[in-house]
Amino acid sequence: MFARHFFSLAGLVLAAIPAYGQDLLDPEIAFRATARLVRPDLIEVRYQTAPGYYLYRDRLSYVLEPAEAVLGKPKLPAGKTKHDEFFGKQVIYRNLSIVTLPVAAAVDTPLTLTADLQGCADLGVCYPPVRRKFTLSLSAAPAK
Amino acid sequence: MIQVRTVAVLVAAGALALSVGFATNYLMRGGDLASRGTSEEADVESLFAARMPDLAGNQTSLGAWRGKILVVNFWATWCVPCREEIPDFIRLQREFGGKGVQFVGIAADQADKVTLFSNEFQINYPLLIGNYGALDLAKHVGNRISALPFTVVLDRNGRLVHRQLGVLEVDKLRSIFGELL
Repeated sequence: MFARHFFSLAGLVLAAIPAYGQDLLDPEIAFRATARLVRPDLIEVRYQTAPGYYLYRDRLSYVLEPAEAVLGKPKLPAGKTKHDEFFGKQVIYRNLSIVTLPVAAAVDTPLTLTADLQGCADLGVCYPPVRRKFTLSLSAAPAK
Repeated sequence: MIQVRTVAVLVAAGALALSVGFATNYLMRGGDLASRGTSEEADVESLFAARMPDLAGNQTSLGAWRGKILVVNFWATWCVPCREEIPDFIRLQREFGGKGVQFVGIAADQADKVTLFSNEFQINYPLLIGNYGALDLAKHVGNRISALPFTVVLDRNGRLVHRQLGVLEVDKLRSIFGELL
């Protein structure tokens, strides 16, 4: 009796709270990224978006240092297509997406990878571009 | 006795749930602000004081529009929901401009991109170029996560009466103007 009343009223009260009251995540949590050096000539970057968040493929970019370590063309996953009236068809990534980056001239590690990304939440907000930096060396744990 | 205790627990649970809901709503997404504290006044003052170039390159601050009902919209050209609501702001500026409402856009963006966008959309209210400094400014008035669009409404006395993370609907703006005009 007591429990039934409690949950029915609590349910009513919770239902009255606007749905948009739910928290939006900090970008570091909404868009997680890790990078590791798989081989001296190959970097793997893993993106993990929180449910309800996505990244734009065309706003991923990479810079590798030192300059002698030349980055090849990134191999990007297919992703999903999102259409909007301004930018047309955009490829977006949700959940886990893995990008591989060939390193054209292998050099002594450690390498520093700078990765820019930008994404949005389905709730109707977008986050500004953010920059992540990873220090990469062979046989090390993934950089976070 | 059991019933009295049940009611008391139900009321307490209800009050707690409601206060959590309102607090979350107020802090995270948008809401009418019934009161303001000293820190909030200071934050609004930093918004009024910040100087940014307009599209002609003239250093301007929001203080130039003190005394108006100000709708300050933080946005960027790379933000799709920001672009979606701007045609509504243009219409409302046209409709309410003569009654003392002034929209101002603060772009977390570069001047050349904002100029192109402004020309394409024929934006009829001032745009200031804040670059990424605009995001710090938005933080001062409650946009903790720096997401866009983010809009605040200030009354004629410079009091913060509404803030909104995400698209600010036309009906909501009309209702706010109805109370302030």
